[in-house]
Amino acid sequence: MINKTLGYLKRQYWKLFDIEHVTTTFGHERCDKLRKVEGCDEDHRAKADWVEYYNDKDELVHRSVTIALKQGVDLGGTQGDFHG
Amino acid sequence: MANTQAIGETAKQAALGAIVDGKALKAALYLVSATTNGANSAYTATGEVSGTNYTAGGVSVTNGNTAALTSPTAYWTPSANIVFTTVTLSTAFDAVMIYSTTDTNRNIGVFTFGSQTVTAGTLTLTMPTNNSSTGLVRLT
Repeated sequence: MINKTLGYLKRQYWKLFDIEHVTTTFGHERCDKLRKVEGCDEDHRAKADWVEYYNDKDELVHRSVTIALKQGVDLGGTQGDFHG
Repeated sequence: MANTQAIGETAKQAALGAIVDGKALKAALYLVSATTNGANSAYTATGEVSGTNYTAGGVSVTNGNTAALTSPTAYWTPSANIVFTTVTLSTAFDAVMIYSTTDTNRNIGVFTFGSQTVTAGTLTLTMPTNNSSTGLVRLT
């Protein structure tokens, strides 16, 4: 309960002073305390932009991905004829 | 002027509309190791991802679009991005199945992308432009 309240107050403080923060495996953390790595993977199906944050022990604590589907599937209707 | 053999375009639109128009849809994610494909007649939990804040069956899909027609192609795309918020999916996944809960979880389609993981983060699947050349499901 105390941890929850402290976490809430911390986030409100960051919000008030416009301090960028991110969810991590250890709760919310200030971005400036973490190492940020960004990248992009792309193939003919989709483009994936990802962002990772690492802590001072070089542990991955956050990874988000935005995948842009480039195009869907074409069902290509096939029509029969009277000749079989 | 010769006659041309063809399936009726509005029939294609009606066929697509019958499976998507006004339906309640969901999106589920599948592991790289899974074999989910068009042969799955309905949503399956086999090979589905699991992790923090991910609920089996996935998330709801916003379905404000109806099947449209731009001659000769009928097409449809979800009307909003599909978002999995603050999840941890540690085992690599590379596919999403969109299925209709209105029609006993009928599989509408499986869409693949490059292998990904998510750690205490958000996965956003942005939809292609809803038109006859890039729409998510197209009947040509």
